[in-house]
Amino acid sequence: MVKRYVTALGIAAITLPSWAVDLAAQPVGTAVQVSSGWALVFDTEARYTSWSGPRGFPNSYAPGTPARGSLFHMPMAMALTGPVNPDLKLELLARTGFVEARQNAGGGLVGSVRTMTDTVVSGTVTWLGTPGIQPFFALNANLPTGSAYLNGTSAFARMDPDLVEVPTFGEGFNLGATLGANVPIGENSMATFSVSHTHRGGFTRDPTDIFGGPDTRIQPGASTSGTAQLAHLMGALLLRAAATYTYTSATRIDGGLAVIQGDSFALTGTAAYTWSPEHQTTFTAAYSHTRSNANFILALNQFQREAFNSNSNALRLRLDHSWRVTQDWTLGVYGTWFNRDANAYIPTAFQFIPAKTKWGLGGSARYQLAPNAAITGRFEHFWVNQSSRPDIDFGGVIPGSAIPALSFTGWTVSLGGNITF
Amino acid sequence: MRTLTAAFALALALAMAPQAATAQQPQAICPEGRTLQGTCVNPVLAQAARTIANVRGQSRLSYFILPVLPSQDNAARDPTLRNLRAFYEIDVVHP
Repeated sequence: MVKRYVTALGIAAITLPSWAVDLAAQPVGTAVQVSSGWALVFDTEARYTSWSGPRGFPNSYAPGTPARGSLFHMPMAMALTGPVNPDLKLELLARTGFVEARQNAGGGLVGSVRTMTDTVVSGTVTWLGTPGIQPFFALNANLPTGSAYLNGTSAFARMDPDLVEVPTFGEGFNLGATLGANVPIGENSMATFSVSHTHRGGFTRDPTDIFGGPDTRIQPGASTSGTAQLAHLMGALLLRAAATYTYTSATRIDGGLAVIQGDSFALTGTAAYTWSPEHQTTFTAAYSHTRSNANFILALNQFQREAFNSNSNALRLRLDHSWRVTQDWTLGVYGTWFNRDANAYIPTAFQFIPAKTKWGLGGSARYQLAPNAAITGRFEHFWVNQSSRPDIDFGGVIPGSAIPALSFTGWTVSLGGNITF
Repeated sequence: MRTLTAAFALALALAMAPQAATAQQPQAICPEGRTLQGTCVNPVLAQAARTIANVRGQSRLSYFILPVLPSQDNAARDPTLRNLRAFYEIDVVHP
């Protein structure tokens, strides 16, 4: 399998170089003379992740020891951007991919899957004709071209989302819309306000009970959110902050009301400093808090907020540094730290989720093949530590239900690129 | 009189020359619109803001696919937006 993916990595590199967004680019107030103004971009990457640890996923399965897993993911996308007329800009994107995942743990927790992923299509129109405000509207859709239903042991290819990028392989038809506006404040600042709504379509998946049972029909709740952003450029320093509030409607399982996920609040801040034309450092901090869920109580025929919050707070810090070594070569290094705290349930409760921390250290190298084409390679090593959970006790202890502290390690390598016409 | 008329015509022609030259130049285009002051909006700030609004606002569009190019995933992905309980929908064992 590794040999096959090395070949795929090579093909991706030769065919389609990569492209990076440079936040410290154009001077403010510069007018750009364009001809047609349209740009077509092809972009793809081949990514391979390998991990190992003392238990497979789900961690509650004690015989699943030791464990290792791998994931090959090759997303590919095409984007078309340009002016419909001098006052209207159009941005189109289509993105799909291929994934092959394997988990191999003790106790029969072995599974693999090979499938196309779902396909996301996106269209954004921006009105540029009014000085001082640029409203935009984006319509996105997730097309179910992947595999939500996994037969037999292939279901065991679903792995921990903190270890692999692709934790599941398909869902339903989802349709999302965002309406917003950029409000430039002078030449160096910008405020952005937007509201979004995502309708999530139903899908049928394999039984959620590993001991067998009927298929499960999931009807996820829709989500609605509001986001406010502020960006400010002070010479070589770029500052950006974004806050998002999201609430979700009820999820149904097999036609019956099940749960309303708690409202969430997410905040992120970024500071990027350009030391020189060759060196730039970026620091990003992100935090989210989610309220308690409301579970549907059949006996009461109503939703009831859970006594303790089964959701966790999450915090991530990231530090990047890029160095343009020559006109054609740019190197980068980065470090990340991610923490999800324990949820509010007591450690012996069935719903308790212990704390988890993930460290990552990586680097990248980008080569500009031509003015309109580039290749980027990345490598990251990560470590994940999860705290322990004692035996479940709800009046009587369930022996063997404890989960010890777990440590996982892994690495990800990718090679890709893009070309612009 | 004829001399004055010629001189006036020459002066008028000279006065009109800069405007004529300007009228021949293409008007500057701002790819992301203009501020209230009439200057161009910083295109990188504008494009990044739209991308962030799209990604953060529609975090439930897909479990793992973002509406951006693959090469932008590393910068755009925010694991704190991932709702763990959403995986209640895809867990192997229903909690």
